[in-house]
Amino acid sequence: MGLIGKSVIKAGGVERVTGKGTFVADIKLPGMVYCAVIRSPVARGDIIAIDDSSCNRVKGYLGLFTAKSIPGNNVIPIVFRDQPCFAAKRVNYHGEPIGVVAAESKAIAHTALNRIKVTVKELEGLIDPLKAWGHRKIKLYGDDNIFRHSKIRRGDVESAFRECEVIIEDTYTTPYQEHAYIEPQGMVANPLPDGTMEIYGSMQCPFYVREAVAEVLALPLSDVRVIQTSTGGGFGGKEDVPSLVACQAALPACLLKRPVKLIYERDEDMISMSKRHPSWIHYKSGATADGILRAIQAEYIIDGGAYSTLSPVVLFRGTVHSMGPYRCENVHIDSYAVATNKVPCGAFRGFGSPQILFAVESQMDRLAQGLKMDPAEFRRRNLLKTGDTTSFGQKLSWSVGAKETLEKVVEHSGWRNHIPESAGDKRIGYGLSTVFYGVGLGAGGKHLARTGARVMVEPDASVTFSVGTTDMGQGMQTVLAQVVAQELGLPFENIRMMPTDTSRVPDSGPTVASRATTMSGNALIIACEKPRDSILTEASILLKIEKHNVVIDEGIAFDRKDGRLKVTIKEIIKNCFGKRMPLTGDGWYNTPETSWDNETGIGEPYVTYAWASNIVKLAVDTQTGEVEVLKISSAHDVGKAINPAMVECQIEGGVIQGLGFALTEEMMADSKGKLLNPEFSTYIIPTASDVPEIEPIIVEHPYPDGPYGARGFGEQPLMGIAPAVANAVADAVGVRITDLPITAEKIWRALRAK
Amino acid sequence: MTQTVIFTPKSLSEALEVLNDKKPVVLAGGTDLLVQIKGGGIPPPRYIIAIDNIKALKGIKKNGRKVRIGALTTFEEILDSELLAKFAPHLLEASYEIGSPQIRARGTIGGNIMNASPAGDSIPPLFVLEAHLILQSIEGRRKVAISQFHTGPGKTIRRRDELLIGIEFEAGDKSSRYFFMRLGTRKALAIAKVSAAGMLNIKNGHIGKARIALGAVAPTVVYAHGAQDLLAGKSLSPEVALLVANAAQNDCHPIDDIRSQAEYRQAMVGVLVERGLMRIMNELNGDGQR
Ligand SMILES: Cc1cc2nc3c(=O)[nH]c(=O)nc-3n(C[C@H](O)[C@H](O)[C@H](O)COP(=O)(O)OP(=O)(O)OC[C@H]3O[C@@H](n4cnc5c(N)ncnc54)[C@H](O)[C@@H]3O)c2cc1C
Repeated sequence: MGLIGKSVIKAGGVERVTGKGTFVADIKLPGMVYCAVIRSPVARGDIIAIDDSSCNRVKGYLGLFTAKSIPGNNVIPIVFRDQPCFAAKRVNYHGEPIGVVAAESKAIAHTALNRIKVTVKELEGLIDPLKAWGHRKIKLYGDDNIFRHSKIRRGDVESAFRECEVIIEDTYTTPYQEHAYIEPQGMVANPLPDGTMEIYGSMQCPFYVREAVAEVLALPLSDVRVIQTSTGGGFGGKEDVPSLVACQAALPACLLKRPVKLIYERDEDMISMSKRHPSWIHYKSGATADGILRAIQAEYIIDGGAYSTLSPVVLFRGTVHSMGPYRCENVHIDSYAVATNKVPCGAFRGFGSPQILFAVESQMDRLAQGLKMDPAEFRRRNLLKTGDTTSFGQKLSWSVGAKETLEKVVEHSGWRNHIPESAGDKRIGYGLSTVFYGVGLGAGGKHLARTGARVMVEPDASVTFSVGTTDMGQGMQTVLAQVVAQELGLPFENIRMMPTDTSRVPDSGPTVASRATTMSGNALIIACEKPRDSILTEASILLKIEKHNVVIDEGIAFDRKDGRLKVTIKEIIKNCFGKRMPLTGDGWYNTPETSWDNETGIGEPYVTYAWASNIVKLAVDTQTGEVEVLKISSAHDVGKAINPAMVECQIEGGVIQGLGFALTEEMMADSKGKLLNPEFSTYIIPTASDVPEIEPIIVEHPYPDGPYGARGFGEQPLMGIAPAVANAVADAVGVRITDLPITAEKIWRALRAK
Repeated sequence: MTQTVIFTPKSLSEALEVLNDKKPVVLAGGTDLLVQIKGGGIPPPRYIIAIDNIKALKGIKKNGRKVRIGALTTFEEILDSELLAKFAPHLLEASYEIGSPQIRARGTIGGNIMNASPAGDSIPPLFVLEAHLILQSIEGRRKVAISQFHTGPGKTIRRRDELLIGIEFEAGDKSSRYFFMRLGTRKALAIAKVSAAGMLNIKNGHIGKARIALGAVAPTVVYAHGAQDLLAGKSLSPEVALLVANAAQNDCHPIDDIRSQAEYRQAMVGVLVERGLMRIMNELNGDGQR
């Protein structure tokens, strides 16, 4: 296993750092025009008129395109079909697209945008999800403004609470979180003379984009080809919304028969693109005197925004994760995704789980405190282990590394070793969290849980491969190239991944849910079978040994029994070509079955789970309420780290993004649903100076169905940071903050009230 | 589309002519101006004058007791200045807090003053130095006390034909002690939620002149008059520091905004002033001067 477990340098890493790479903003095509999006000035209203007559004198103005111009269906298909490409009569959120203008240059497009007169009759909107829920007069979705209601029913909560020594009940809230990818959204649509449409852009899910463009332009899927350009970060923010951006460029491109470019401004991106759902959680849990988590009752509400987009699946995942990684036999969960007149929320690293895990893990500490038990010990007694059954009734037959991650962080962090360090106005605190994550699409999206791959060995022993999942900076390209190199016995340098393109492999579903390494990795291992067999066959002929005795490693084939007998793979491949042996392979991988009963919340929602523990050490200034994070130890069971350095990078990046969620990030909306801080000077993400010492710890309990035991990784590092910070603050100064972010102002207020 | 004409004069006299004729918008480092133009905070200007080629506006000099900082001096240059490390160490503390390395390399002290933000980090340190601004037009020069210059957020008494050419203050002596403290939401690239600067003249343990200025807690930077009055004639002790800190809280009128809340800001004025005074006290104890 030469290349597996090796920290190969990230493919494309040097180019990124030196500013190279083909991003969508770099694309220039002959005759290309530019467009700009017309947006709703109110959160809810009726469109009376869109008037571009004052643009007609603007030189270079090419026209206005609205819902009326759409040749196909005015819909962005995701889970349900409620979101239009352009609002036709009714606008439902501030910033909702109602049309585009096209022009010969970006500047002209923006001049035209400023001149367009949009007349909207403002209507009363629903901004607060708790008020929108079942609103009697204003109906945004169905009868009750609920996109989805999920449940878990297990055991008997009421009588279980009667057995508890300690019961904690509280309300937790979390705000929007912005993805803050470094590259804003952008697309180029290029109509070809044969009537087909090419789309280039920054995205996670080319097959979603293809479906949307085909639907809006009334083209068959065969006539839309989507090519991912270098993508500067996604974090879920480029899962569903690029479909919208692509259609905004594709419509004028199709009608003008010219290439169209659309690159979002940062504030436009922040106002109109998806975010992490704000949430409201009421959570009650209880433990018996011997430290056993006995009962959980919770209500979890997420603010979906104006359209359902991914909310039903986000809610599903949040519901599955609402008990944390613990055994608990009495559970009663109700969760709701509510419609409001705000920007639709969507996918974001953790997908509905970080919000509820903030409550889960805060509660665990408070129960431990009530029992006068060390929080690590309380978790130890309740953590799931191999052979256990989860709260939703799934038997975990293998590879549950939860406890090992817990022991590792306790050991590495100097857990609660703080008394001598507190000095002056500073108080040191330690906070723990243990979380789990269902890897892959699971029962909420199982129709998409498959993926394709293709491998082509060239006569000079270089190799190209194609997959349907994407690299958005997370490093999939590198890890998959390691897999291909390993399978074919070639050096890593010989392997090149082709840009992800819907014409190369069949629809492989989205690049989300930490699924790319496992899904495309498995598909590639299958795709390598045929070329690998040709290579082994030819090697056995050249070495004059039996095929099963041939070993290939980094470009050399040799005899398992006698290492001196060698032949280079270059020579083997040359011979294979000479003999016209097949050196190309296709792979197709489906995940094992998943299930979920929406009435009882019982089933096997995900094929496997990842496990993680975090310990945050921080100092709180008792006078100012300011928090300084000193160190974070973060241990993750990833099954197998194909590239350990990149796993560590994911841990570091996720921890930092989690710190932002915990401490500073807060997108605010006014009472009319307008976002107040769509800019990085007031939406505060951590800078390099704010990053504490991070100690990444890799734990490997192999996942039997994963490539080399890898389970999929990427989202987990963010998920448990906010509760660990809240727990550390409580440890340091004895105040419990239940609404994120944990700002200095909130801590100061809580300290003063003490 | 509106076209913008940009002037790039090489000399001060040339610049003053242009200012007089066209009343252009002045561009120094651009770290405030360009953000404001792009964000629509100010309309795209018809005329811009870029002053970064004018050598006369650069440099830090001492002439007798007078220290003079050219308007075009960047925060990076301030941080490198030995002269200022000696005579305005709190201005270095403030400069270090500004933005990020990139912003400190471009942003100028003149731009910071002229932008007239109550959160401008260089302003409270200049208040406690009782600095004067030197404004010049073709009609001549005038000196204005920095505390008289700002009239509200983004507002000053500058005439549109005037250029800020420098900042001048009287150098302190061995008896002068300084501090600057601020709170921001993160460690870099954070506009101050509250800031405080102080200057005390302390001889034989007794405070002579005392100046305390507060940032981001009123429409402009303000002196904490009540706190200053309390300090005069006293010697520093934890009790005095607390008393003065409480007085400083009543010297300001903060508001709620996207960065923080009034109540918190008011309380933090007290914390910062107390910490600043305690730091001076501890320095003196360390120096054996008390
Ligand atoms: C990312 C970022 C972070 C920042 N962080 C901070 C911070 O932490 N603290 C802080 O205080 N500020 C901060 N700023 C604001 C800004 O960097 C400072 O105010 C800086 O000092 C402005 O200087 P400048 O040379 O760039 O000014 P410019 O943008 O060129 O000019 C600012 C204003 O002053 C006028 N002006 C400039 N020079 C003169 C002159 N000589 N005569 C007359 N008028 C003049 C201009 O017309 C304009 O109105 C930040 C800005 C950014 C973009």
